[in-house]
Amino acid sequence: MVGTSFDYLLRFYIKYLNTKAITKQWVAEGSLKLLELVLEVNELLEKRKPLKNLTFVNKELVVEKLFKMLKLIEKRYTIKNHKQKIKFIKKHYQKAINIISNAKKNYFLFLKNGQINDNLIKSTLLLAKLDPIYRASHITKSYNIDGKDIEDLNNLISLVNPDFFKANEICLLNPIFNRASILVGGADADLVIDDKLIDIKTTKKLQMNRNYFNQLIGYYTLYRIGGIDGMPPQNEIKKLGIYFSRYGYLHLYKVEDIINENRFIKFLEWFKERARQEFWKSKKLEPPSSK
Amino acid sequence: MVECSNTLEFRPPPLYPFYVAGVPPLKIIKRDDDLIMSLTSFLNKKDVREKFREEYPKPRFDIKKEILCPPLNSRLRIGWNIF
Repeated sequence: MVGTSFDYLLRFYIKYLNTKAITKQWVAEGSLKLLELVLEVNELLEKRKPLKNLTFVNKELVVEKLFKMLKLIEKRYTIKNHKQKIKFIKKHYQKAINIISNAKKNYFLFLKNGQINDNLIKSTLLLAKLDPIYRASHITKSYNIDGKDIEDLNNLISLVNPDFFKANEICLLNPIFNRASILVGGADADLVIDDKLIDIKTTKKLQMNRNYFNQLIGYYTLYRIGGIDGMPPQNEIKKLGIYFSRYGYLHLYKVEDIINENRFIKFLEWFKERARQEFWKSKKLEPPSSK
Repeated sequence: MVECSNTLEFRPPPLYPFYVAGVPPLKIIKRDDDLIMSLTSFLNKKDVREKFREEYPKPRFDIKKEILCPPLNSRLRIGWNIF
């Protein structure tokens, strides 16, 4: 939870440092929207009305998420009655509205005065509690905040060296990889600062394990396939890195040192084909074709 | 560049108590911003991990530093399955 909260807090801080930074909708806002949509779908199903008149685009995905949400509520909170489950979702929808609304107030106040206070940090902890709704259809039961987490986040943000994150030209927060994100069923990176793509890790150990390394290569591959949303085409990613927040340490790799361009083209083709098999055939969809 | 517009037929599972039989399946274009985040699940596939290991040797990581901000909360992390 502190890790996701710190991702929010650091991005807020980076936005403060780089007023022209391009920000995407928060994942927590996606959660609020999802709750709104699943309640809308449920209402129609309860009234035995077809869904075809709904205005939003991706109805079938929302229905899938509603079903998954209902299953998880039953499994995790042993609520079996359907009406009780919906009541649970409605309660959390209201809670999410308040969390987002307060977070926006605290965020914009911070962008004005640059003061990181407990209210802002509490907001990041609450936003992080909403994220699993969007990412996993999972609703948390408790919105209690532990004072130690506030202190922890305060320490983490105090450790940040602003020079790591001041952009000369390009600063993208939580960017996606255009159409390539779809290829793997969705993906978003933490940050792009000029020619650097950076992931944030709030971990106890300072280590570069295979998963972290693969994640960087994976992001780079998606960038090469689809570009990065909001990034001008002339801006090239030349460095990949991880910011280890508990160490205040930014580890960067030069792309040329870890990726052999001659082999990479062939690898790109393999990656696209393998991703198509995994994400599109498994959903009984026709795989997307290459242009 | 990859063309990813696609459609998905939705047929609801039987668990939903109010589902109306006879409602035609939906055919809607999928959009990237509606999809779950799942690069991680892809990278965790055995053959994908092997391919990455084969193609990209991980450089030595010899950095030794003192932790400056140790976690204050010792409780276990609660995980959630996103897939």
